[in-house]
Amino acid sequence: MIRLAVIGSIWVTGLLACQTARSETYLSMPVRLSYGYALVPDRDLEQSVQAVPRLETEADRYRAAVSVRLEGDVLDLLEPGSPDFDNYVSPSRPWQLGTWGRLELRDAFIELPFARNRARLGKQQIVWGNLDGIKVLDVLNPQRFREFILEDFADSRIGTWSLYLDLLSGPWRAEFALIPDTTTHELPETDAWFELTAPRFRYGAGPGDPVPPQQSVRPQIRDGTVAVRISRELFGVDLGVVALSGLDFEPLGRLSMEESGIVLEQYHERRTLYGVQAETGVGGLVFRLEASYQPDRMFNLQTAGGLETSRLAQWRVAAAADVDGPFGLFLNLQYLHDQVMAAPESLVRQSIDRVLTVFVRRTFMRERLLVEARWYGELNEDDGMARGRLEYELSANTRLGLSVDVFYGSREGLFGQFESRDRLKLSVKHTF
Amino acid sequence: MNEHKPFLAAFFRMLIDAPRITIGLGMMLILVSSFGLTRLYKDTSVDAFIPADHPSLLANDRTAEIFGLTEPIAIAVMSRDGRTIFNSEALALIAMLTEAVEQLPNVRSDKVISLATESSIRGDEGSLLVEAYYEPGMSELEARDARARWLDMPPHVNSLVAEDESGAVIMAELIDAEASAGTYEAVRELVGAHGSPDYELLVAGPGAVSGYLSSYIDRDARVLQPVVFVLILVFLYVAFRSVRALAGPLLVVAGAAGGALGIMAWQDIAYFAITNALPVILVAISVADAIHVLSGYYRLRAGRPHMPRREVIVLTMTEMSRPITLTTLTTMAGFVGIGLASIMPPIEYFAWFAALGVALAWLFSMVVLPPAMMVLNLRPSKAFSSWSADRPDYLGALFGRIGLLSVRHSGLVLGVFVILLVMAAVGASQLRVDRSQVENFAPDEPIRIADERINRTFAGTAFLDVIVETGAEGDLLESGRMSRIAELQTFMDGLPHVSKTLSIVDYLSLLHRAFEMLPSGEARLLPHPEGALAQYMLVYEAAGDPTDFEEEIAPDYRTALLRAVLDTPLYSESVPAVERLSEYLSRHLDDRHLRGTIAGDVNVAYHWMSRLETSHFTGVGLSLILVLLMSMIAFRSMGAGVVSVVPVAFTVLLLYGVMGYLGIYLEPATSMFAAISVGVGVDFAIHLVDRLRLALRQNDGDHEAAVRQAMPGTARACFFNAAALGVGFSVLLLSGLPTLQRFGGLVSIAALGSFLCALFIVPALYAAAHQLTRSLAARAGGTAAVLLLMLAGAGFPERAAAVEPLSGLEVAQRVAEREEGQAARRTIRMTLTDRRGRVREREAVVLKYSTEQSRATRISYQAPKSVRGVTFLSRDAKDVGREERWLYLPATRKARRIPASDRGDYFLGTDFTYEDVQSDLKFDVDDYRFEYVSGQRRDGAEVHEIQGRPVTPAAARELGYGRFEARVDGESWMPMEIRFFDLKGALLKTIFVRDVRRVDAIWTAHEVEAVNHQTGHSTRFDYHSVAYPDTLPPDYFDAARLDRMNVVGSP
Repeated sequence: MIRLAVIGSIWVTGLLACQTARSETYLSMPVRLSYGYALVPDRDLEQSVQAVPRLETEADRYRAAVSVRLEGDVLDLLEPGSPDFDNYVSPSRPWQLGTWGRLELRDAFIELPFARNRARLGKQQIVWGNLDGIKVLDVLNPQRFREFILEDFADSRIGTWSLYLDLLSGPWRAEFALIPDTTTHELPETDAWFELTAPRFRYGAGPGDPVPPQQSVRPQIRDGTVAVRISRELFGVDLGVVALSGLDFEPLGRLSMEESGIVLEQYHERRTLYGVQAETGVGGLVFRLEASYQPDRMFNLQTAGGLETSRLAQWRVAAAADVDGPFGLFLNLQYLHDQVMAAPESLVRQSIDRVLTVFVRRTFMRERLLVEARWYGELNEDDGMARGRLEYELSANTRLGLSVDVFYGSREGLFGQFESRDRLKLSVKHTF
Repeated sequence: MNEHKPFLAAFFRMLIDAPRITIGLGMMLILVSSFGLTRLYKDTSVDAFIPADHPSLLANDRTAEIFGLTEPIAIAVMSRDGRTIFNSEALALIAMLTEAVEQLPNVRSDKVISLATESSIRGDEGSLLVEAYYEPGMSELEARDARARWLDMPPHVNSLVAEDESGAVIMAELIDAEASAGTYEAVRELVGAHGSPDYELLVAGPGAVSGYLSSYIDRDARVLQPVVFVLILVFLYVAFRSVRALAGPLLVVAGAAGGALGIMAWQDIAYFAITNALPVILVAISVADAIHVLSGYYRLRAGRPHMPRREVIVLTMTEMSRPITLTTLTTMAGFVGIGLASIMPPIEYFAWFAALGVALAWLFSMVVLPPAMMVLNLRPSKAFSSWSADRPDYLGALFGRIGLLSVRHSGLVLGVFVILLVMAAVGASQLRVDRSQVENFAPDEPIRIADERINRTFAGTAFLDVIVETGAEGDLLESGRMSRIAELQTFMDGLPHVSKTLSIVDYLSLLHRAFEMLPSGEARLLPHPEGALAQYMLVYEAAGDPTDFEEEIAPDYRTALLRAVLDTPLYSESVPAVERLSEYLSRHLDDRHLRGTIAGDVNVAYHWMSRLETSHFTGVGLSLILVLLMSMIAFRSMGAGVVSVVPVAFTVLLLYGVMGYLGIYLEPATSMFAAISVGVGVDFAIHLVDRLRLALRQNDGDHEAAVRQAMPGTARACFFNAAALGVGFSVLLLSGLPTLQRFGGLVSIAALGSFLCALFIVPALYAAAHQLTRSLAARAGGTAAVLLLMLAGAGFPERAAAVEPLSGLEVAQRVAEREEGQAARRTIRMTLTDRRGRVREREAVVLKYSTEQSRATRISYQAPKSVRGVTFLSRDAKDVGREERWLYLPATRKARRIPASDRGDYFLGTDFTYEDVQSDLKFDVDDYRFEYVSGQRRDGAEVHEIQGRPVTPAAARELGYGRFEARVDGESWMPMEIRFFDLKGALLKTIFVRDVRRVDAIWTAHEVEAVNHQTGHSTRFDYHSVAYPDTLPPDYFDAARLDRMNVVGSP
């Protein structure tokens, strides 16, 4: 009821805004029909529909937006059964529509400009990272991993109820985020098609090894996040520093004895993050750098005594380049180095992750046809995934997409855990 | 082996384990691309070789437009016993044929010229007599009178009738030159039906020759291509002795050839005459990859009979993926070099799509072939049975022995190579860039016989024209100007190989003699009194047909045509005439009183062939350099790179030598051999070098052991590859056209020569290098470098002379200084139309803000809904010359910097470049050198025509234009029309600026349309809600605020 009231009020606000002078209201609804086919084993994977109606009102004095997402999948393999969505706080939780679908509020915010500044209040996404498919500073919103990282981040990022302040003063920009919403990552449940089976996601248990029954411990509202980013342009370089204190969206595990036996409790700790970012363009090249340092992040250790935790420092550094190449090719290269400092051998995850991504795009027929190829490689373990995608503009508002995703590597690896999850996906998207 | 390449092995296992999907996807790609073949259209015209807007073609168009002269078909009536044609029977035959030709479709009935249509001019006691040569039912006496009158008509001697009177000609101008092949056949039927025992009827002429040639090449190649294909299949069968083995290569061939041609068709690129060679070369290259894979498979299968088939395929692919990738890259480099350097569109497209086909062949060989091999269940081949005991078959053993021979006697082999090199260089020095259209036909071909007879008997059929123009109507009849035309004609009379000239001066001279009762003679005489010429013309119009001189002078007397007939069809022999004439015109006939422009088919051939001379050698040199670089990078060794390129560089030189010794001209068709040789020939050396290097490592540098291990298998595969190509192309020797015969022969020699050269030289160079440490490798490198320089040095284009900026710059500055407001806001409706008429529409709000230091442009899309909110921001810091761009995508909710593309890159799928969009129809005076072309007053307003050329080649590349021509309105200083030419001089696009009116006292274009002439695509920008506020909020141009959409109505 609370959610309905909130949504209703913003819709009413938006509709009223239509009547005021110097305002514009837009209503759009992209609808996507998708068919997924699992290459190994050969079988149908997805027959789904997704609709995202969005109402947006923009005037001189405010901007308001509401959007919801309705998803339904006949085959129900990506999200089998009725997930309990226990990672969501109540006002953010999606509605479960039988076993086949869900309905959720994506955005519901009002933005109030004042002087050169603006404040935005409501359910929203706050995006500070600028990398492509890699997260270093894009850490203010949790994410759903229903399709691992194959879903566009804009779609998989979970909006949270928050207050956002964006202040401009001369060349300086200061952004503040206050996020009391303690929704965390939505991880696929057992038997989901993209269930995370690598030991690092199962507290050290190998693929197929039994894991005790799991039980989630919800964080409290006081575990919410506060963050600040200060940025400016200097000598053609966009520079920014970030500081954040808030909830770690990745769950930790601990074993506890209940009446029914041993239970694996999933819980979340707070973390502090400091980051820097830089972006600049030199002719046909754009360079990006993002780095984060988390001095006391909590990690799981798998010791002889069971599952333990330890506070360790973590660095994540990513460098990226966009290249406007010959023959109309656009090329994006990214390298991520993620290291847990002074990591003991018992650390559940790898102490060092090194990920390289290569992305190539070319448009044909005056941008009517888009061809993309993307490759992620975990360099430590010869583990990775590749994606090829075609998108064709059938008409002004209709696009046809075809993609192929291929994983390879060890079943214990970041990507290799989906070694038998290669898929082909065909989709038609029409914007009403 | 697999353990060393776990990723590759896993990749191939994955493909093999899902064969239906992989093959299905491959088939889908083939089907989708092949579907494009339904859109394919042909352009087999000779004119396609030269950009459509080339001055020589434009001049010919003007000749056709003003004087109605094109490339005519000629019908010669020749008396078999050599007696005079001036008899009643022959004249009646000529009249009857003339009438019949006039009735033929595609013939301009008013432009058929013969004794039956022409008249003589003479004076009779002060009056002018214009008398037809032929009247129906004329007697022998009247025929003799006609002869006497003809003798007094120098313009008709040796043109209408041969000098020895043994033949007369009927010239027929065509409506559509493209359809000349059909007209030629119709005329042939006509003369066949009117054969006479006393008179021989011949059909030729430039129109017949070029039209017939296009259709002949097309027809011939269409028959021969399938034969080539079948022959290559036979070779595959011989190589593997298994019908099943053919399926895999066929799939690769379909993927490469079907894919490349299909994509070419999707891109709306025409199928030119030389595109005929593209499927054949792609078949050969695709088969090459498949041959190497299958050879590796059968060899491993024979040597490891107990290994599961799946693992044999995986092992084969992990072994072969490297050399196949290397050869793909080098072959592509070869074609890319040709593509980059060529300035002839058909050759350029050929090279680029050949490179694409090679890439597709690689893709299909690597991805589709392995699962296909699994599905096909390829059993061990008899051809490889001996390999089971690790013993090569006969051919493999033979090549192994040759390799050993080369290693043991490397000095001798290299010595022979150097001798051959010198011989080839001597032959190459005799190579001639030349062309004769008629020599494309076999000597016994009727059209060639006829053309040669007509050329021999009459003045000739090769025309070199000059269009002479003046400023105002009637000016040409001013005696001073006509005297200068007479001087020009006298000059043309003296040009090499000019056997006859014809102009209005000849007829005016006749009129002058007739009026003044002067004796007849060949010298041209003109009256001195001013006004006499106009009076002569007036009197003639009363006495004769007013249209009699319309081929010599335009009715408004502003334009005249001088025609020189050359007695040679050869390009090389016509060069001095064209160049001297060109020089004469620039010195004596390039002023405001009189201006001369060269035209005619001889001039077109001159430009066409001189472009070939330039681009061919540049292309070959560039290809070799690219292949060398690619090989060096691939092998990470300078020596290995050089060794890989030496055989193919030698083969190209060898072929130049063969052409030089045999007197084969370098012409468009034969020039294609070089692209194919470089593209394919380098593969053999790469395969050998790759396997030899591996074997050397495995055998601790023992060359003989390495050769024994590497050569038999690899050289055998290369042999079948070369043989398939060589034998395939040698089928073209069976063609009826000498052009195709020469082309087929040269490519066959190139294929087999490259293979033999690699077979002998690669092991020898390695052995010699080993003996002499690195010194010989260095020398070989030097040799190759010299070779490359020799090949490349010949053809680099000369720099164009700089143009001094004058009043053109002033016009450009006025345009640049045009008021545009510090801030501007407008809504654009973009209409994008492709060549098939499909329309896409977009709407965007455009905001601009300029200061002295910077210029910012923000474009926010409003429609369609799928792109609404996408916002592009560009900031151009003028003082430091830096440009920054951001793109905000609502879907990603972030504004990211994007690479600042070249200013010449197309703006978001439209036909406008970034520079066009940002410059607001102004010319950056720092980018171009301007030239003032002309100025005129139209509807009371001044219109200035200027042209600009980029100041440097780098600027041209950045802007994407080789030059532009613009018409600028002198009141608003807004361009009305800008014609842009690409870097190769071809007309690229035209920007039309319409509906220009003042908004807030600022001249504003409300409709701007760009039409791309090369793609047929166009983009129209319709502007509305235009406003020029004093300023705009700076936040609109802040990357942090690109998500704000409501920027239309804001202050």
